[in-house]
Amino acid sequence: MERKKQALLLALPASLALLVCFIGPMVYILIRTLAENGTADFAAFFSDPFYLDILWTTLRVSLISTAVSLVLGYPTAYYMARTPSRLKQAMVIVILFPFLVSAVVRSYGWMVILGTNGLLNQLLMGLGIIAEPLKILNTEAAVIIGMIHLLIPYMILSLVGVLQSIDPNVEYAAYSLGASPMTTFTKVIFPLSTPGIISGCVLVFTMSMTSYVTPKLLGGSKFRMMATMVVQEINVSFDWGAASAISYILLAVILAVQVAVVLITGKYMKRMGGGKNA
Amino acid sequence: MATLELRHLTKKFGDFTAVDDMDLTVAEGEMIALLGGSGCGKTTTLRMIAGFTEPFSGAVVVDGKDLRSVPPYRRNISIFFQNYALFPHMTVFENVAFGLKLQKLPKAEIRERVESILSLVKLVGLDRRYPRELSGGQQQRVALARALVTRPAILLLDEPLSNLDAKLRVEMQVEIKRIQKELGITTIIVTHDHEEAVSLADRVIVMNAGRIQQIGTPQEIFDRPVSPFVADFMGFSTFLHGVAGREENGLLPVACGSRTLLVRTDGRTDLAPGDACVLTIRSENIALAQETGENVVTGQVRSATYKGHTTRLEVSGCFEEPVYPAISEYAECKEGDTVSLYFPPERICVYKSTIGG
Repeated sequence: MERKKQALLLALPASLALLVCFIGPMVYILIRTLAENGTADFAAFFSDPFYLDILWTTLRVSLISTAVSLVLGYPTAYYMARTPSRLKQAMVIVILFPFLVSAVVRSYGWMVILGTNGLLNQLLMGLGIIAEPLKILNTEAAVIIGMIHLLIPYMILSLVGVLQSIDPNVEYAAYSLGASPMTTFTKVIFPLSTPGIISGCVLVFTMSMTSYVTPKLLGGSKFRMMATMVVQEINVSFDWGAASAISYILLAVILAVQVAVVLITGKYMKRMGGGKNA
Repeated sequence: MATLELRHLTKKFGDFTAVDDMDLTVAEGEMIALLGGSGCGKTTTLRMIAGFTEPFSGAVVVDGKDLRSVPPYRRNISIFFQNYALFPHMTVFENVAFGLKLQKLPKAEIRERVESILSLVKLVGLDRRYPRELSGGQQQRVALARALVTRPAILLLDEPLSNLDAKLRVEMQVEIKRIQKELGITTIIVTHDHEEAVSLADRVIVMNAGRIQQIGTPQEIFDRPVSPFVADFMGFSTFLHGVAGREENGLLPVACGSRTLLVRTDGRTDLAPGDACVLTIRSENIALAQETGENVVTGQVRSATYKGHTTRLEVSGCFEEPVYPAISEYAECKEGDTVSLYFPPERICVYKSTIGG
């Protein structure tokens, strides 16, 4: 009991800061919005195809970014998990390296590469693969590319932890029982890595849903996601009600997805040993 | 069921030779123990047989077929790991059925075979549990069932009993031997524990530094270790340095310090008079003597350790080196006593001294 109290005390400063600086203002905004316009701002969002389209775009970009990050990140993570420690440390540093550069700078980097006269188009035209420059910058594709680049380290690091904790002998046992490498992957490795897949996907999905810089800089002026829309409502339309409705809807959607993931996978994780890898 | 042959099997890791030119033939249904300390190459040998690692040179041959180009999942060689390596996300039933499902057997047959193997390892009624819900001994039997159920040509056991407490260990030794004989599976067991090796295996192979030191039945190895190294590994603890004399009537006199021990060699010795040699004898074969005579020496008990069935003594003053007899627990010997010890000539092993050895 005494220890529990001490632990509570240790958690107090951060909890207080969170309560005062984050949860408090959030609740205040909600109350103010509801007090001023009732549920009108929320109703307006759901009855306007313009807003619904933005929500759909945000979901689509986030889901694609998450899926691609998983597909690209998994082999890398698996390789890292099965690599001797020195090389692994080097790889972790390489993967963390992009964090030293801010998302803004990295987005500008992608602008240089993806622009009409950018490096990619120059290369493709120089090689004679295309005659006209491709329009990539200021499209959804550019946003997804930038997003994946930004978020894939989170996916890899989530996966490495779990993959490393899978006993290599379990793989060997599967081989010796007649499982090909492909079967071993689908029946053993992949199911055992679910906790890492879930945490990686939830992390990437959430960060992608709430991203602002990447869609703003790589998507162009006509491309809108939920976070950019909040800023636009405040700075351009001066509609605080709409802005707070959008942020709450975004919050609700993310929470709903997370809860759904936990509910769907929770039973499975429990079976595997209380999800102790998660 | 199959015969297994290792032909000049060699494995190198950089400059280090883990397994050096290993030759071995294992008969159908035979149980072989690879015995050695850590780093002796026994586990590497096992991994090469299973196909998890490729030999540097040489071949693994099963039923006359070289397995060089056969991947591990087509070898029909089951392996049991020291840490069991059960699939944590599968129930006991699913773990055991894993290999059978891959063979695309009918459901009814899978169920029947899983149930019969589970009753063989005495795990009936636990088929819906997950590995983490089982005790260590139960998990071990699941791993054994999983390895056996596919009716492998060869079964490999990597330190199968090292994680168990003493009581369970004895139980499992009996179980493993019973099941192995019942199914008649050619089996290789890797262990560092000589008691485990001799109690399980038909033949024991003592390895050191990647090389086979001795192959023989457990009794042969216990009675006639070919070198002081093997003797030491089999738990011999008394080692004496001496100088050989001339064999007479099958007995070789060896001068150890101021005393001489007779060793029954019956003309089989390669020692010439004057050669430096090493003598060793199992602790249990040194007896307390009532009267003086040949091969009887006296010394002082330095320590007496009660071991349950025997009392182990450290006796000094007989030779330059101390000797370690194991005597009946009822013989009353305590520290400081003077005892007479008899070394039976036919129980003493003698080896030519190697330089520095």
